[in-house]
Amino acid sequence: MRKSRLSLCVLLGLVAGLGGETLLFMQRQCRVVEESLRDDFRVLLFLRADLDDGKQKVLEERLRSLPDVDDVRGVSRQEQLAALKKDDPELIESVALIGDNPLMPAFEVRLGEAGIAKIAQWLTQAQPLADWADVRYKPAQVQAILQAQLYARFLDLALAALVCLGAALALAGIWSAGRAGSLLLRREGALAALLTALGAVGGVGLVCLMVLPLRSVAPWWGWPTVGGQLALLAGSSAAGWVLCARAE
Amino acid sequence: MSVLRAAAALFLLLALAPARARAQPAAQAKKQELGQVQKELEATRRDLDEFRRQEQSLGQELHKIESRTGDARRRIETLRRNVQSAESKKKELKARLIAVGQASGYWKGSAQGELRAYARAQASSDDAFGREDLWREAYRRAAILEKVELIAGLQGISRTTALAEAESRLKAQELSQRHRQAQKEQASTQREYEQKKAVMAQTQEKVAAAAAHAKELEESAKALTRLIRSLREPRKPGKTTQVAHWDVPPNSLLWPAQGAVLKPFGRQRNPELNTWVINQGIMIQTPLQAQVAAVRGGKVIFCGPFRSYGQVMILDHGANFFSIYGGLGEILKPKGSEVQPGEIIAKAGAPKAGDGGRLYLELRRGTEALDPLVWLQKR
Repeated sequence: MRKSRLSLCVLLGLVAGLGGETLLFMQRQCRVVEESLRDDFRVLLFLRADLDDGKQKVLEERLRSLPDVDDVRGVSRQEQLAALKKDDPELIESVALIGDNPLMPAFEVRLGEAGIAKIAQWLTQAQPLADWADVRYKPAQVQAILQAQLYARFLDLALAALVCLGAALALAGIWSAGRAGSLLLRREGALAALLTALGAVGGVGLVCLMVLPLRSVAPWWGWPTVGGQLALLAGSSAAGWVLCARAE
Repeated sequence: MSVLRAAAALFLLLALAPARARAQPAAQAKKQELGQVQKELEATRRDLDEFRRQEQSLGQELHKIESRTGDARRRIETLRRNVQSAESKKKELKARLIAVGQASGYWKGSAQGELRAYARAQASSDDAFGREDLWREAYRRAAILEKVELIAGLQGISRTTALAEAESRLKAQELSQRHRQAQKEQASTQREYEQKKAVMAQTQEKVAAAAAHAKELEESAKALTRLIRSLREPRKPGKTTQVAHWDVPPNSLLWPAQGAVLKPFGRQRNPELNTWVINQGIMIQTPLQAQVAAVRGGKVIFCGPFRSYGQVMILDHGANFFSIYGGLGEILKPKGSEVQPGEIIAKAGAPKAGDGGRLYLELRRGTEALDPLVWLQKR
């Protein structure tokens, strides 16, 4: 095998590693962001007046029975005030109150992925359940979650396409090898696959080195999964083997 | 005039013995006089009854006015208390209005501060992350809404209080006006009461005067009756007296004092009592402490106080002729002393403080009263 062909295999692996790892990294970040936002997202429903325990339980169950609800938590006025005193005592001290507690009893609802995507519809369903004084959530958070979901799915799609391409190349290589006869056993083919894989490792390593400084400033962080990276290496190796072998 | 009657009675008693000298004609004259006196007495009694009815009516009116005055006083007191209450309520409402305004201002300032803090917190919060922000925002918003509700309530109270204060002010004004009106009415009622009381006092005086007059008339009538009875009695031997002829020509006697004649002789109308009286003499208006002179020479046969006449002096001029001086102040000649014509015998008295002097003069021939203006010198 010529030296130039070996270099081509390494270069091919490096490009595949760089691109694939970048895509995996971005996909992972999108997932992490989406999960964090979704984990933080709550819809707060404030009642106009205190309810007795029985009615509150009933209302809680009715909220829970709505579609796409992951969790419902009733929060009394005292609990809200206690939590605020614990989290932000300065706020409590800075606000002059007429009575003891201006807050109203509330329900904190955690929605599922589909519920967040259809938040307006969900609110329409929740509205008749009680005489709500106020319903609060962060619309920008919904938008951010949906945006992160979009990016993550797009990247999923791109990665899936790459994996499919690698698989197709591998099948094509096997089929060609079958026709040419024991191509897989040839030493040059194995060497090309190995060099491509090494190039891919190098690409992955470069990407990791590039994103490593961002870890300290990014609010959310996540490494690509090991399986994904192994698949990337395998795909790159297969692609290198097939392309270099066919070229020979 | 009742006093004149009394003096006449006195004189009649004093002159009883000489009067018997010409008993029959004198009895006839006295009988006529008695008839007049009795008529006058009847009229005076009717007047007295009328005055008493008037007095009773006035008493009832006074009682009604007193009752009205009492009611008015109670009403004024009630109104005064109501005015005080309204004023107190007005002040209280005004104070409340000020307090509500101050509280409203304070909470407005506080709410404005909270709103600014809320805006700052909203601007600095993450729109896409952090559910704690929702709780903080809910807390701030609830506190602001609580203040807004309180301010709205205070403004409502302020409006209501201002309205109530205005109503209270109007009520206080109205009550004050009614109070002043009631005071005016009470003053008017009081004036009416005073007037009625004065009329009552006058009527009582009239009643007293009429009663005294009636009493005097009764006494005169009794005296005349006694005199007539005595004149009709058979004369005792040796006691006969002749009525001498008085050789004094008319308009020749001296005036006892200078002054106008207030009351002439004879039957005169008394406008105060609305009746007729018979004057047996004349009343002369004199200066205060004026000197009183004897109309003719004679002897003092009586001097001293007699009933309502005050000091009285009687001069016997002989031949059964007498001159009587009433209403004297100081008597200068004692009983039994002889006086010359024009000699000062006394000083005129004054019936009331501040008035001028008065002198009553009566001339008698026996029991017959003579008109002094016929016998006194012409002026």
